[in-house]
Amino acid sequence: MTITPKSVLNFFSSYGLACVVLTLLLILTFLGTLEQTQHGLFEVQNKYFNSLFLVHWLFDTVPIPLPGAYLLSGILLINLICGAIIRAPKSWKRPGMLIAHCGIIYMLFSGFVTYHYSTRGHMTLYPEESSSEYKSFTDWEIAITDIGKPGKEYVIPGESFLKLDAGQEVTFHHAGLPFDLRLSGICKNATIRKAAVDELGAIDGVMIQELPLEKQAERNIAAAIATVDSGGTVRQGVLWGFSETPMTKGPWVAEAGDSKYSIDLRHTTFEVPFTITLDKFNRDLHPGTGMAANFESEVTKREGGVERKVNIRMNEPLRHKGYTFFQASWGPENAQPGEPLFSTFEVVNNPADQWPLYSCIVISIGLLIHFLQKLLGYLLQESRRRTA
Amino acid sequence: MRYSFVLLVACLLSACGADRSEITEVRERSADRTLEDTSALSGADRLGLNRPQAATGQNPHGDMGMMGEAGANEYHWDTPATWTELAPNAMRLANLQVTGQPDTECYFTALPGEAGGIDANLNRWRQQMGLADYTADEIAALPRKKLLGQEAIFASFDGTYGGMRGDVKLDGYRMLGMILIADAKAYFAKMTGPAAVLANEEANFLAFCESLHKGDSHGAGAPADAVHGAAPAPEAAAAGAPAFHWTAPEGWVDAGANSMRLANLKVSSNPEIECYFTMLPGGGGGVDANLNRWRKQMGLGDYTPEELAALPKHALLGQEGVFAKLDGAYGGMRGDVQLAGYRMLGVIATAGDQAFFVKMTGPAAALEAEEANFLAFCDSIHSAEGHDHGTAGAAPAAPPAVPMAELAPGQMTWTAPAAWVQAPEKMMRVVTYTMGAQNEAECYISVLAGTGGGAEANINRWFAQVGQPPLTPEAIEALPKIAMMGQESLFVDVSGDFQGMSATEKQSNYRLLGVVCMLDGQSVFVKMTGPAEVVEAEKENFLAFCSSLQ
Repeated sequence: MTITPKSVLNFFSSYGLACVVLTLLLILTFLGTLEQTQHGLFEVQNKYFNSLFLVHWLFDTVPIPLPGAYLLSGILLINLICGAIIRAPKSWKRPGMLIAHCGIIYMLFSGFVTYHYSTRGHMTLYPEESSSEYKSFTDWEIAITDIGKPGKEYVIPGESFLKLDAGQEVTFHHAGLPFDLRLSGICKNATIRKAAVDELGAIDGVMIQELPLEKQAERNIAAAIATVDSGGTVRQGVLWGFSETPMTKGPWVAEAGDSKYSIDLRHTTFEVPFTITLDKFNRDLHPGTGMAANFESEVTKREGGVERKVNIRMNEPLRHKGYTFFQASWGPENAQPGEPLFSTFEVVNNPADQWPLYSCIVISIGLLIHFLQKLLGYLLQESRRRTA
Repeated sequence: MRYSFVLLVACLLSACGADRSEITEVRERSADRTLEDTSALSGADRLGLNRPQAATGQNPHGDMGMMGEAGANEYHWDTPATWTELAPNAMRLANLQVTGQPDTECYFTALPGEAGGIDANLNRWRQQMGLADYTADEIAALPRKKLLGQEAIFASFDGTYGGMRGDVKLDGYRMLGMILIADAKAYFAKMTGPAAVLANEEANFLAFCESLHKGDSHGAGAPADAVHGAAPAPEAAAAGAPAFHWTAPEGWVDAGANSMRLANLKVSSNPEIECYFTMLPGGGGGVDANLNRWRKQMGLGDYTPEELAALPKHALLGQEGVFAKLDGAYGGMRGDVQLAGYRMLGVIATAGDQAFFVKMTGPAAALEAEEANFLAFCDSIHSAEGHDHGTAGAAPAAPPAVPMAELAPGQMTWTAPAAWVQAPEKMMRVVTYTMGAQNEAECYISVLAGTGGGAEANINRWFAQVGQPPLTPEAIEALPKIAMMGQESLFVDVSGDFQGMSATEKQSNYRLLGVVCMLDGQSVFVKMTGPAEVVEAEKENFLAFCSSLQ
């Protein structure tokens, strides 16, 4: 059998391929949903839906290799383009179907854009606090800043070191920094403890204790041993993802050259081009409970000297410049009556934010045209039959 | 060929571990921000591993609000020498581990309110260990140990530990736990780990719990003396002195006093044996009635008058007491068990309007050997002042968490509505009235020393009793006020499903009226509860009653 361009086009545009891909997507959805009962959402999403291939363990004993939803979505996109756009007869006889298929392609493309180009995190504010940045729930980064010149951050994304095991190490450098930063003892989830006197492996009186990965990925707290080598002088410190909180005194600061550098292992931080100030947080509790029935935040958005008052509540997010602020949660859960409460917004920056909506509209229009066309055809046919 | 060479070099570099990467991302940030200089701090100081450290609450800026917040930790403790402190978090004010035993963990936490209550939390812990719930009787029988200087319920059980989230199964584990509800908070100390390890750590756990205290100095939690005991009577507690002392016989251990037991002891060789000393005001219902109540608990019929008259006597607190020895099937304090072959030893004495009780139960054979100890224990009980019995007017049996105030009932006057019926004397209450067609509503006055926990805590406790959420300080400030005892006093009127302090069931459609009056050095509370329609009819009477208080 010879492979020709036509045979390839026939394969990728076939109904059979569409059926197989859709069936596999159905199976992946089923298996992924089942797996989510055992593992966290983040982990399952990565394994089943953000992957090219995966191995599903049936009853924890039989390995079943499967294509991932990412690969299948790509194949489905090609199948739709080849089948519905290239091979389909170009005729105004069935414009509805053409429009509907274009809508599906648009939806798949919006998924691709969302996966590759969107960011997601949270911004948490107490009343009267302001911020123009939000933090990822799960991703980590190391930010290196000269504390005397805080206007510039050298950023190492988490994926460039968290892929390593605790026994491996990696060194980073930059022409603007007077030292090399070596990372070792890297843990995706860890706690720390006070080291015993002369305990082997202790850094500055602290031991990193690796923990199994949490089912909910956002609960993992990364840690690493950082070694600052400024050519002759070597300093070591423990980086722990929890060190940016008020609970502790702050990130590790190392002296190198004539400056001091903050080396901060933190959740990936994204800036927004405006400032949000929480004016007031309101909540109504279910009577007799501490559970919130309704909660909303009164915020002020400041941008270029212009202020705008906005109320953010459940299902009524603030959308601005591609950023969407959803009212996500509040706390502290154990707040005493009268204690100030903070409000947490889930912030999403997605260039394709509204694309699924638009694609659904396109698909609906296509199907409406198609069905109207069919109805009119039927009515005309009936009319002719009666007159004949 | 050229590519092969590059690949070879890359492989060699990788194999040597000489992974060196350039930082490619440089971000511009606001130059106005300030960054903390922690270079002078040790790692342990910087990361909060040296106390004083973390705090309560949740961290809003960190990881989904899971972790700790700023502020000083108000709790302090002594870490056992063989333990290591882990970084605390929002839910764990103390977070510890047995050094070199990463499978162990011990933490202390505090939650507002009752956090579900003692029973529910104990059973939640048992579920974490794959065990069935405790029965009410089992919970009642749990020993008391010191936590934050107070008596807390202590539980220890072995099972298959499912972790905090139930996502593991660890066989052969043990859990040690203590729960205390006090000061409108629930305190939990819990330790888990392999049973073999925890078998050697129980003493450390108890020592850790005992060392826990609030504030800078050690609190009232002085270690309990296993041989000599002391219990505060309410008035004495206000002055900080115990009212009664005793000497526990050898082999007996102090299981910790509770609200009904001034002394609560166990025999270390036999956990089924328990012995307690208590005191009730108003004669406690009388000697004969109590003796017959004890006989019922043993499945026996009442004493005849002749039998009562013939009972041997034994001195208690300098008074002639009656000594009873009963064999039968012990039905427990609630009559919900049947323990055949049991014996009960009891001494009852009265002095003025007070009744004193010492009671011991356990298997008959074991108690045969302990009878002499029991009588010696009775002989050893004496009041702190050296008197053999309490003074007249001494208050209620239980050592209350908040001491009664010095304002004696006799110093207060009031005018009760004619239709109200005065109820028998009750603990912690100056006076109690009932009202309504079936006396289904009640109103009482109580007086506490100092602020009695504060208006806010008491009002929110009342709100909790009717199943309503707590009020904010602003809302409490905005409550209506009435004049009582020459003071502007807060008036509460709230409805809901009422569950009193000792009630096990909620009563629906209830209403609570309350007045909180803060005087100099003491606080007066007037509270009425009952079916909403009865309280509505009595509201004017309640307000008039409050106004009449002098």
